[in-house]
Amino acid sequence: MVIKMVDIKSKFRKIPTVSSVLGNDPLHIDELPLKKVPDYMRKRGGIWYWTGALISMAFVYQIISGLLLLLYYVPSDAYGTTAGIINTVPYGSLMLTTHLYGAYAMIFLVYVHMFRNYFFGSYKKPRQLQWIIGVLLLAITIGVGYFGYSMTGDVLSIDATDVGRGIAQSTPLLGTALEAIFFGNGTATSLFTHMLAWHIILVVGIGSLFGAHFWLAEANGIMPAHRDVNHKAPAIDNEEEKHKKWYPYNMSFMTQIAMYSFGLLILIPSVIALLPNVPALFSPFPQVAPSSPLAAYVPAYPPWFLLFVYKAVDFSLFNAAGSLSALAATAVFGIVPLVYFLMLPFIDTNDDLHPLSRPLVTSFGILGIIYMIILSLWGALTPGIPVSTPEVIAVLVPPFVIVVSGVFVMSRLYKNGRFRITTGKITSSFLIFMFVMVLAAYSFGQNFTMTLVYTNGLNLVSTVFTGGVMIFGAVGTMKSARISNAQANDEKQRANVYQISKNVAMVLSALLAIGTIAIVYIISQLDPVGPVPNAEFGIGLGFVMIFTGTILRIYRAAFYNE
Amino acid sequence: MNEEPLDRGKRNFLKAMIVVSAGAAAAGALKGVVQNIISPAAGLTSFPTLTLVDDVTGLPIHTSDIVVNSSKAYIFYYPLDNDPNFLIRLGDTNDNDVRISPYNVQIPATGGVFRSPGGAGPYGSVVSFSAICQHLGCVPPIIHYYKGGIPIPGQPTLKSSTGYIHCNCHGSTYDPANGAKVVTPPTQRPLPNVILDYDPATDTYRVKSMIGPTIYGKPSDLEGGTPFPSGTTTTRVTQISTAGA
Repeated sequence: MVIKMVDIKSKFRKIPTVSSVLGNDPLHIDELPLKKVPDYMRKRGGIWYWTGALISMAFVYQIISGLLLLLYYVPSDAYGTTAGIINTVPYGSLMLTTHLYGAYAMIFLVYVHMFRNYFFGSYKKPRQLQWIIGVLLLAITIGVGYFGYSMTGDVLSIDATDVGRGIAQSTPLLGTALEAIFFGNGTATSLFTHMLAWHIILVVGIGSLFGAHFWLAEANGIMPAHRDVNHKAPAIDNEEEKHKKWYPYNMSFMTQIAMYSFGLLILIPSVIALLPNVPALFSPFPQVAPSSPLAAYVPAYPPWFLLFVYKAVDFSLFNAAGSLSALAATAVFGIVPLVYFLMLPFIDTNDDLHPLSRPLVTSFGILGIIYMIILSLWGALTPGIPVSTPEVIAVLVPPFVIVVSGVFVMSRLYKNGRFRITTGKITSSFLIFMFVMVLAAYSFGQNFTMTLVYTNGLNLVSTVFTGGVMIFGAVGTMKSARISNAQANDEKQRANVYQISKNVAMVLSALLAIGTIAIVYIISQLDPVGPVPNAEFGIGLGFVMIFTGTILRIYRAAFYNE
Repeated sequence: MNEEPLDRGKRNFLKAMIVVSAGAAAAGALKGVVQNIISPAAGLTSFPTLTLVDDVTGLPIHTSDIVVNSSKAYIFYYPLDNDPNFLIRLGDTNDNDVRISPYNVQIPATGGVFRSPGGAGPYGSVVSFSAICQHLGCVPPIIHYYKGGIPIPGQPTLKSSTGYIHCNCHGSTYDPANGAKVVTPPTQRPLPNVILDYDPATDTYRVKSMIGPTIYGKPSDLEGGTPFPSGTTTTRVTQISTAGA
């Protein structure tokens, strides 16, 4: 009996380890239907494979910050409570500015994600439905952004609602109903209550479609490298069993990405909030109220992600549509591209994955990006200035001719086997290509217009020059792609080995951890109310999260060799 | 790959660093969220002075507008627009005005004492108290004035010629003739007293401030509600029936 007592006692004295109590995998993470992924997706440049994950991070951040803002937003006093959130609610300014920039990040990343998969051919078998749901998610995300932007009640949001309202109202047959559905009965309270409600209702839509999109992504598996499937659809990862386990390898990677994403989402708007004279388009704060005498000095901008449609409304060629001109511009530059993207799996049904095997789809994608950037810049620089039809042609036709013919030439070379781009380099090649093309095409278009109006030596020279830059950009990209192709394999081998001494890792991580505690201590002393201390708090908190992500990065390098 | 199961100590050290920094991040974020969800106080910085006006006509009320021992409750809102107060013209059992003297009121909950201002008006008979029960916050008509001679529910022994303020939620009773002091528990606090300013020249009443315990359920008398719009100089007196309550 006595001996037994001692036994129990010694058992109690022993501190049980966490795993002896909870087991090694208490959350059953190993059983989650999450696909394992190849190592290269977690290495340098691997972030390109995680654009969807980044959107999800931003979405999670938006839900958290948005639900908290819901505690303070009152539709019957939209501008007053928005100003109150910034000036009197503890950490309200931080919530509002990061919520705005979280939306910006999400919209931008949705575009990046879409075009990446567009050029990669991911919309082909077996991912057609996944693509279609993705395009719907893009449309709804922009809708949520529009309603959210309209909620502040500042002069820009009033303009945005009036324009949206006018376009909705001008819709034949459905106009009045659409207006009543989305904008209420005309009173300010009804308007902002509708903005708030649709902002949330559409988020529920994002949530459900995202669930379907994510399920399909897991069910269809990752898109393997093109060469592994011989550049032919269906692209299915047949080597899943060989990859490292999801937990802990991908788990730690995802946590690292989450820390970096949240850190940057908080850090960037906080830094911008402290900068003087931030243009209205990128200001993290609302503008003045429409009743303010300063309202006249605020340029009439829509949110930046709608600038391209906004500029299209200025095109005089749509005047032919009379009272429907704004609707026509929206339809041509907004609805038509959307329908095209939605229908893409039905339009491009063959099994070629390589961008150069489907030159028309590829050039439309590049043109889409170029047009969007040109029109957005144009709208930002000359908001609301009418544009004559010759000018529209001068700006929009040259990129069309150059891109389509350029891609077709490259496509011909590729099909003859004289031009090859490895899939690993394809994204960066196209990015450089687009960047040079956009800048050159834009200035070329402007110069070309000037030449049409005033034909003189200087304009002729600059037109020829900018045209030359465009061609140079295109040819240069081809060459660089070819060179990178030759080196790609060697480089890949070298770049993929990460080693860090475990002692260095310990020192670095200890320093970073001490840094996080110091920063949290310092920012906890700041006044919780007011935009300036909030921005300082955000900078600190952003760095703490980035430091945490960095320790995870070091851990993965030291112990996973990743 | 060539994962090393050794180096458990170093591995755990790095894991600890991850936990520390993630904890710091969580602490910072949590501080922000927790402080954010606590609504900042709304209210005033000082008591406003408001003239009592008739709810229907909007004109200042005179002494004759207040019925002695009225069976209806006169209610006005002060100092914020969600703080109801009683306005009572106290009389004896024959409905004759009774002069109310200033009185030192005990607060049983704290042992503190405050000076009740006594009655206002030409007969010194008009008094005013917060109409929110200090026990658990019931409001009129559940809490209301019973004139002298009317029996208090559940308190057959209570007798006073000037009557009582009694709350039918949980049976708290207050004495309006003595600064709304506690007569029967469960309340441990008298009703906050409203300080009235009577102008004999125009026969009008103004509310100036409050004294006594803090209005029930509020961080302070001046916070926890919406102030009247700036420039407001009046507060309306409404009559509500107490019959059946």
